[in-house]
Amino acid sequence: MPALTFSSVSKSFGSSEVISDFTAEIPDREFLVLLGPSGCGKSTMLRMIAGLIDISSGDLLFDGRRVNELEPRERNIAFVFQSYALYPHLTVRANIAFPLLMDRFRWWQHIPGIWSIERRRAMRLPEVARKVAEIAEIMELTPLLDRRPKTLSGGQRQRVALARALVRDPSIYLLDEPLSNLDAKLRSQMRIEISTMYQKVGKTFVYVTHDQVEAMTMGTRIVLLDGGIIQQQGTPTEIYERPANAFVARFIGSPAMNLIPVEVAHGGVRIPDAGILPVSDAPVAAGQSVTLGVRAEKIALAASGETDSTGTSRSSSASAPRRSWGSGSGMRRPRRSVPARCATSTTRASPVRSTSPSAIRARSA
Amino acid sequence: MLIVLAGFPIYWMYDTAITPRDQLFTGQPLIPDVTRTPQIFDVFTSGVPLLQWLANSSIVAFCTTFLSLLLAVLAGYGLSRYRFHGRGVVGFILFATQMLPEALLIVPLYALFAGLGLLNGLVGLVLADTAFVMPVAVWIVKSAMDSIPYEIEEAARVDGCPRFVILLRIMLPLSAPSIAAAAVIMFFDAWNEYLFASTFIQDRDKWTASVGLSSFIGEFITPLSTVFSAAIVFTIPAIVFFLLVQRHIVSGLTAGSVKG
Ligand SMILES: Nc1ncnc2c1ncn2[C@@H]1O[C@H](COP(=O)(O)OP(=O)(O)OP(=O)(O)O)[C@@H](O)[C@H]1O
Ligand SMILES: [Mg+2]
Repeated sequence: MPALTFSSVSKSFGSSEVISDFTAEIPDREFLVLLGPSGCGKSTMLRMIAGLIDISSGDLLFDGRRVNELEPRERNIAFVFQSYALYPHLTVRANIAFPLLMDRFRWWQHIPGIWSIERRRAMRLPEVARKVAEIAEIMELTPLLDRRPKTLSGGQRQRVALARALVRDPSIYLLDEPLSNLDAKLRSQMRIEISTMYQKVGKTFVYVTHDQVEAMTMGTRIVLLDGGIIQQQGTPTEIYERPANAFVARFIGSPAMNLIPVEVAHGGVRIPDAGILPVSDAPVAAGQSVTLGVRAEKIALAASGETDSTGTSRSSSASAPRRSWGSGSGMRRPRRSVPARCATSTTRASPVRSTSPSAIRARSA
Repeated sequence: MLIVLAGFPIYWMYDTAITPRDQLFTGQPLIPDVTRTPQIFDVFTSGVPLLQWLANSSIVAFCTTFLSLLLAVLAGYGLSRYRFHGRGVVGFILFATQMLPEALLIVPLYALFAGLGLLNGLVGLVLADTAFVMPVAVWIVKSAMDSIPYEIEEAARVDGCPRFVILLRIMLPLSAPSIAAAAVIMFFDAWNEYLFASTFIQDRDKWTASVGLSSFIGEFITPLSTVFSAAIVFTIPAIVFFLLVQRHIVSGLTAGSVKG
């Protein structure tokens, strides 16, 4: 049950860098979600953890032990492939049992005839049969056990792939968009199934998805990638409430966070055509252009003339020390219980993130 | 049209085989007289070791097929999955060997086999045939393995499957249709091969059937009915082999493994 340590892990295919400088520390038993838009390098990252592709530079550590050179099977992992990768010539039962048979593989089974005999014998072992039946039950595959992958629907194949990965007892589970092909009902059901599994086995999970609902509901920790670069890492709440930059703010949340170009004025920010929104203690000098981020659920209608808004924010750029914008006192809380914040980032790309809970009441224009 | 073109020699062979000799030169009936059977048994009793020749051909064809498939599976897998320097060159050389005509190879091969003492024996013939037909098999197997998704192999690696078992238990079954097709090509090539066989083998009882068959064509008389009857006998084992292998040549084995 290793803790994962990535130190400056990079991957290049030829001259194109797909992952650059991935540094993260994942404690034991976390449910890590790798989140990001299509093509950002999530699958590549997962393949490197599995040992299916080489790490171009940097180190990957399981529990402090460098595993860069270890073969996949020496890393003791389970992997669910984005494209299922079932064995098309084997039945569903044999597909699910395959990892168990491989655990029992001895060198003399290389001899073809012996392998067939051994395989048949191993399939009948009560332990193997029990495990296969158990996981098939969970994944609702019991009636399909003697079919071949060709005759299954996409969702059924995905569940076979999931079952094959979960049937063993590895120390890390790697899942690459395992629910992408399921319908909404089955998806939420499988989401619960995987979460339950996670709670039960108490192992480290790395889960790749581009679906933020999955990320938010299942993950205990999220790493958000874009273009192979970590945009932010933290718990789902942290990422939702304190987006590190405009990309994160836009990517997380539905509807996406409102990002409004404003100018810093004395005592607040000037919203074009809408006057000044009071924010105390602006982090940048008056006259600068910044971006104001407001979650939709934090905006409430108010009577004309009433601008009872307060925002707090804090700079998080490496150069600038964290600084609070005055937190509002005597403000009216919005009806929703989710804490609001306003995120800002300067146009000069120094990311600014909001901090303590605050509320903004924007005047209806 | 194509069927007619391809079928005509077969029809002609059958027709000639059953027609009595005196009729052949005065005008062969276009509609074969189905009440007559080919004089197949005459062939066996005509004093030539036809059975021996057929056996030789079978041995050569089977050994060539087996050997070239064995090499082709290993080489095809390597070419398809391992990236090494000179991979493109190897692929090109494989093709280049096919550009050389057999007749050109025969002189250096003869010299080589003479040195190794492999002349006038079936072993030498198998080696020569294998060298000549194997590149085609390598190419077929490589293409078949290219079309098997990487992820299947990766899944097997994660499941703890050793390389050789991946080749044997995953790649081989999945490329079985192409391997069967390659087997048919190898077998027919070796079965029909004439030039190497006629050059390397001197002893009459070590001849392959293709050489033996052509030996009927004498300087003065050519017993056409006998030749064509023997030709029928000659084709039967090849057809049997094809029928045995043919049921494995079905496509779509990898269907259902991956998305889309
Ligand atoms: N073997 C390869 N050779 C060259 N480029 C590759 C290779 N594998 C992946 N890439 C590139 O790396 C980038 C990231 O690919 P990856 O499969 O990791 O994306 P992803 O985040 O999993 O996307 P998706 O959500 O669509 O699955 C892509 O731009 C892709 O073109
Ligand atoms: Mg992917």
